[in-house]
Amino acid sequence: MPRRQFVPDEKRSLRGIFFISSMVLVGTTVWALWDESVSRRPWIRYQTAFKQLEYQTVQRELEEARARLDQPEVQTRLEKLREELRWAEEARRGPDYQAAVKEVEGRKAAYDAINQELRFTRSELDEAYYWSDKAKHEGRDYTAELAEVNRLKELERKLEPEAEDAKQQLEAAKERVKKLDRAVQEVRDKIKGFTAEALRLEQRLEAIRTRPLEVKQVVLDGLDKNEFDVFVLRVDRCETCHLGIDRPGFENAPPPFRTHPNREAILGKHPVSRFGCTVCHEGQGTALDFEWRVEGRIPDTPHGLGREYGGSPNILWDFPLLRGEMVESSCRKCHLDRTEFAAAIKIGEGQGAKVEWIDLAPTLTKGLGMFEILGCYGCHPVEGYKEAAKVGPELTRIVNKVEPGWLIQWIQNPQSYLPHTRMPNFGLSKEQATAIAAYLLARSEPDPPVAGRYNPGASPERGKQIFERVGCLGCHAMRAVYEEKEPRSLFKMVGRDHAPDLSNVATKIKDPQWLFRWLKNPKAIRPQTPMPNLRLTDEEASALTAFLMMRGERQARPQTLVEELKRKERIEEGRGLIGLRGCFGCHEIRGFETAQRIAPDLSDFGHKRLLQLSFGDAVQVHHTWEDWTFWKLKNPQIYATDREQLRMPNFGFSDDEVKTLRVLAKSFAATEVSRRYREETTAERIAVGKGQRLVRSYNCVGCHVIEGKGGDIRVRYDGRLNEAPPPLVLIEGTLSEGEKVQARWLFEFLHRPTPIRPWLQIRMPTFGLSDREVAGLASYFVARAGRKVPFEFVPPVDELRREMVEAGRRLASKEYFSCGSCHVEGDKKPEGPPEGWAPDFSLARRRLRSEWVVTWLKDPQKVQPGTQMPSFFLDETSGPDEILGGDEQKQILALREYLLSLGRQ
Amino acid sequence: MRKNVTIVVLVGFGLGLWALASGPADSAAGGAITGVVKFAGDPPAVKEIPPTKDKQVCGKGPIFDESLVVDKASKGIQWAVVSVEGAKGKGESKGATFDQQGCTFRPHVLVTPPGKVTVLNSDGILHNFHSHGKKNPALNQAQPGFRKKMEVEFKQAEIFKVTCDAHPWMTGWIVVSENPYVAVTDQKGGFKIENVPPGTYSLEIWHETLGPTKQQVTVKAGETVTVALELKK
Repeated sequence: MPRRQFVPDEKRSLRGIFFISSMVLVGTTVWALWDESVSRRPWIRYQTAFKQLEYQTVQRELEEARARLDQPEVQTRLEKLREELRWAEEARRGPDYQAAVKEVEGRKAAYDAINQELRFTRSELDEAYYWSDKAKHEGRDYTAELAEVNRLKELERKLEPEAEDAKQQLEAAKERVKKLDRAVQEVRDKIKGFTAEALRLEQRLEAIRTRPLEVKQVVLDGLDKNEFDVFVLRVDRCETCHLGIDRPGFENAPPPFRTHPNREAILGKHPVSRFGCTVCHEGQGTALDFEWRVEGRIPDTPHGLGREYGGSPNILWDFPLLRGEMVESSCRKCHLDRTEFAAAIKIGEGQGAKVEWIDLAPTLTKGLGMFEILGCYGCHPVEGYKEAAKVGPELTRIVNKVEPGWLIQWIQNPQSYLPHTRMPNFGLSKEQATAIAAYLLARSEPDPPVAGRYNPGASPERGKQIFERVGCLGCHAMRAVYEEKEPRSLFKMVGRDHAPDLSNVATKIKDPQWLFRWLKNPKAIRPQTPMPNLRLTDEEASALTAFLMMRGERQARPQTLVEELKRKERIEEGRGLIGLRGCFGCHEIRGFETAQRIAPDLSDFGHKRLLQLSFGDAVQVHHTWEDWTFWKLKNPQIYATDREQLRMPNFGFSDDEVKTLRVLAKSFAATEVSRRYREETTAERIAVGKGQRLVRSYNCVGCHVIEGKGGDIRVRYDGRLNEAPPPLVLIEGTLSEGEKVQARWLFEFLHRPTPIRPWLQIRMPTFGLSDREVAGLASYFVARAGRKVPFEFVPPVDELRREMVEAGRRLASKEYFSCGSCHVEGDKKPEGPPEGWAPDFSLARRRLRSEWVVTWLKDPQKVQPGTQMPSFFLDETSGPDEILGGDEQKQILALREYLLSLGRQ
Repeated sequence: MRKNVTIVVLVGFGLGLWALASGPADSAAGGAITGVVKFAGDPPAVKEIPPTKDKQVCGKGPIFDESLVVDKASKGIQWAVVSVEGAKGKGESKGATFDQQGCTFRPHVLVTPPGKVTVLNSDGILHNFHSHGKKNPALNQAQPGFRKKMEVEFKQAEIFKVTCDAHPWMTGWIVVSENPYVAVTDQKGGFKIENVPPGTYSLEIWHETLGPTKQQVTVKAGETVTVALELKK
């Protein structure tokens, strides 16, 4: 075997290796550069594209601006302006201007001279004072010094007006020069005004051209906390690609560049520089590759339920990007009160533009409304609702009220009796329902006595009249008699009625006596009821009972059922079922006063991870938070297995309702956000929020129009709206109860309504509100009126006012405005039938705010459109010339003084 | 003989020229529509409304319900409004007046082109002019006894009701019409619309109780078309 020939290193050639490795190195460098600048920076593509888009847009604008400049009429105007400029400049060069400039110089010299003299005189005077004071203090004779002082004083007095005069002459001369200068400047400005836009656009184009490509990021402090409960920074780089998001004019641009919807309202309040994007939208703020790094989902699979219900099936991390209405769920991170979701938004352009209050989180608002109306918090503990009142009626006194047969049926399937009820279906068997009924009846207490005697022979026809007139239809529907398709009140949003439909009320009621007592005083029987006392007489209540007891078939009460309900085992079984299904979450039930809520706490539900959600046997449901929640709400029993019983009843939600509630569910998150991101809740806002809740729970909108909603009963007063309950808060108009009435009167009125128009059948009922509730409503009206201090002082009539009161009295008399033609004044009633009467003047002093009286008298139609009160003061000729010199303003004040002087002082 | 012919031709030519110069507004170029609006059925009884307030003034003369006034003998309906739809022309505002007299509106139905309407108060007691327009802003303007005259303005074509809230029985109607070819029927139900440009139109009849109805009508230059109309309850 020949030995390998030894070749010294010096003689070996490494060319090949060098060449190959250097080629590899070059290749790697090129690849590294390419990767660094292109593949790893997909955003550069977007920025370049946006640059082009913006450049084109601006260029188009520039062309338009130039085209406008080139229009013949603009050109002629420009030409004219240039001509003017030439004239003005000519004038400035002319002898007048030269003379004026010369004059200024002359005057200035004169003024300087006299001013200097004056200043010297003053200095000398100071000196003279010094010498005279010195002599005085040394006890010498200082007559000479004093004479010097007086001489200088005299001189100063003489010089002062002269200097002033010279100064004014100088100013006048300067003004003359300025005027000529100004003429030139004005024309120049005008010419500039024409070309300014084009110039501005040109500058913008230049700015776009030279703008560097760069990652744009916002650093946010106080949004995220680490495991040690310390705030950490969050970085959002979304604007790197979403370049048009905060700029007007890209509303129709392709996706990453599109302007944010409702930009002014949303981003105006939440500047991207301060809030970033992921605060609302979630997702990965730092990622610059949208496909899956930002969004956190792998794009759809064809079989995914996901897209259909708002999510994608394959989720890469726990909190992916929120899409569509789901974004609204983030609002509650910082906004605790729902009144904050609304913003004034300008709709339309130019002349037709109007500003409207628009809810920017309508789904969330609706979800919150559903949550509160349906009383979800009865079973689920949620932060903020731990003390909220139960939504169902107390069941402590039902033995005299309900027919047992009806009760069992109701518990088993509430919708079969009232399709629009809030009570959900628990899917109970007849036996289970009987057991629950047995417990409820056995533990029921007797009713307290209520004053009044029921007359069984009362006329149902009379009852019908009362039913239609006193206001029952404000809250209760009776669809069998009065056509009405949709649910009403603010509960309409959940498709439920506020109060039961009375079409079949006789089926339910066991004893007419009970109904009579109930109508006479509902709060005596059920202290928590929202049903008010209509102050019915015995005769009225009896007739109404007779009418209602004819609605529906009375039920038979078989003896076997009565006995079954009394069986001990049944009652015990019922107790167990009530405990299991948590009936006490919505109803007051004896024996369950201290029972705990039965369902899981939802305070952090929005942050539940998939691991924490049990899918049971429901293999068809995709493993996402969105899908789990959707199907749970749609069919609460879907995840039940043999081992795990579920207790939630079925509310019969539609798909839309489920999606709405899902947004709310997502918003339940126990994250704490730094104060600086949270809106400071004002006292007014809190008052409005509380007021709105009270309005909803007592269904004030059944009769009154409040914030543009409700006034359901008004449809029964077609053409006789003056007999219907008045609107209270209008958004468009200026009518607000808080502006109109004195807070003290309102407070008393809400406690104990005293009719303002006692001649009408419809009446403001007595709700038996607590002090806190009344204060809540009063503060709401006051806050809506934008008043800070709710008090009002009505001064007594004194000598100063007497003349005005007299003038007012004359104006109100029959010879002039004839107010008594419609208005009652104490015992003085107007002629004609009471339907046409107007409120009693003697109530005004304690009721109305004096400021409001003036607004009202000026133009009642503006305050309350459609009112029967005519305008007396539309122009300067409206008032009589012989009173208060025909001054309409004074006449209005006089009428006010007169009005407030009436009644008890 | 020949001279006479020339004169006749000249006179004829002159007359022709005069007719041309007078323009299309002249009756020679337009046609007229005349007719009677009748009630189908037995005329309802005349209902008197007893005034419930201000009896010294309102009780002076009888007040009748004018929501359907039918002449006993001819069955003609008073206060029906007949208008020619689609006819071109613009009415000049001649200053219509609407009076409140004896606690009734006079006339019960007022036709006016868009513009100002003078509202009078001949009663000398408080009335209020409350118009219930939809296109025209609703007005509710008091007219106290001392204010004998005031002006209101309606700019949009519309038929709307006017009431006085001080006297609930008082009802009147104002018909604001862009074109001048509108008439209100008289006591016998008769009406006449003149100077209608020739053409085929839809004749619209409106009555406050009996509602609107339509009928086609063809107008020829210089001729009068007579139409018979009947309204039912």
